[in-house]
Amino acid sequence: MTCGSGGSPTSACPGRTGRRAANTCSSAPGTTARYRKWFPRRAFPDVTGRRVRPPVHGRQRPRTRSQDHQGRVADLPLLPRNRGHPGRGVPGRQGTARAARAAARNDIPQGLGIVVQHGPTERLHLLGHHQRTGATRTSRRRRPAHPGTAGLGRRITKGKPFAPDDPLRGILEDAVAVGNATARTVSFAPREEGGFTYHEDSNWFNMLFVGGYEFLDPPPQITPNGVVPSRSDWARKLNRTRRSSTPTPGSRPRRACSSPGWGRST
Amino acid sequence: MQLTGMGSQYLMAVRSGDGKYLSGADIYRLTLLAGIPESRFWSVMAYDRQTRSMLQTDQRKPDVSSQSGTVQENPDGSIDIYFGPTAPDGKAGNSMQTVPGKGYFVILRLYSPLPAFVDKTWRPSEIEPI
Repeated sequence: MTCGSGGSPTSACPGRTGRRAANTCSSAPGTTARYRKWFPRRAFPDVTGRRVRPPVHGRQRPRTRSQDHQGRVADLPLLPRNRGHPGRGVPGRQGTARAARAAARNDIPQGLGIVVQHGPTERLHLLGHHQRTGATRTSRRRRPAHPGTAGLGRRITKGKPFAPDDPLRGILEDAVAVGNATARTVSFAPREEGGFTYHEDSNWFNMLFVGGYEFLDPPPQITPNGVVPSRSDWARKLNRTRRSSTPTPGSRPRRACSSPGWGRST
Repeated sequence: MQLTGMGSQYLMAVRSGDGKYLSGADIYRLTLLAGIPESRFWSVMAYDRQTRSMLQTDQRKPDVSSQSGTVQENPDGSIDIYFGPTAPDGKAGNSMQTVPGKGYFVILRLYSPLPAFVDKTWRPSEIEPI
């Protein structure tokens, strides 16, 4: 783990039952639609990979059963949605001082192998489908695993060690470099950038001003006379989808509601 | 309809007022005019363009906000926020440290925003190089 390199999470998939790699922390969407958004944690240099518990009367507390199984998806620190009780607040969980780094961050092929070994291939396929099409939650369906998108077609086989030769390693590392450059480009230099600026002559922007949280139509206006929906042209704003989803995966209605004192835009 | 007490509105900036990408080696100023349209608090934070995580510097957190307790207002009620490797003299409480050689972007957050944000009668300045 390197201090100063920013967040470096490990990704886990629903259904994963194996223990996580040493000195890592995982965050994953749950098995229900309520927990689609990922909350990868930032890396901290002074943690050991285990949950930090203060000593009691000078003695270290014994590890609990939950701690012994904290690599399981069920124990991951997810942040449930606020159910609309302003006074109650959001029942968040403490995420600081927990280890978080990418599995084999400096060894991309090895990291791919770990992801395939620990995650169900169905989930890998769904993630690939989402990234390719920009599909929203409502349009995603469970489908059989596809070897091409799950990485199995690149000699990464579930249940077998993955040891790529030099040419394959080079291909994979190039793919990561291109993917990184692509992600940064669509995030910070998107097409039609002016379409979602706060003012036409401003560099301040928000991707949701034009297409709302579904990237279709502008958000409805909340007025004293009620909700005024925007006019739809039935076209998905793909540039906004890419711009929003690459750095901040996940979207929900509250992000884009234009009502003073209520709602959030990203 | 005023439903106060929940939510926020965000604005992001990747480029300065001259159209160039924000650079950690340069010094910039952002001016928030008086009457910032929020009924809870506002916040300005800087993020690493590579990792999309908060900038990691000598500062505890790359954040200048109405809750930090160190922000100085100008006589007209506006607030200047500085970005750069070093803070201008006497402006440490209004400054955010950046890293030379590293690009970043800025997010302005308004919690419980007021109508002036929605109808765009209030606007932040561009992030201007100085």
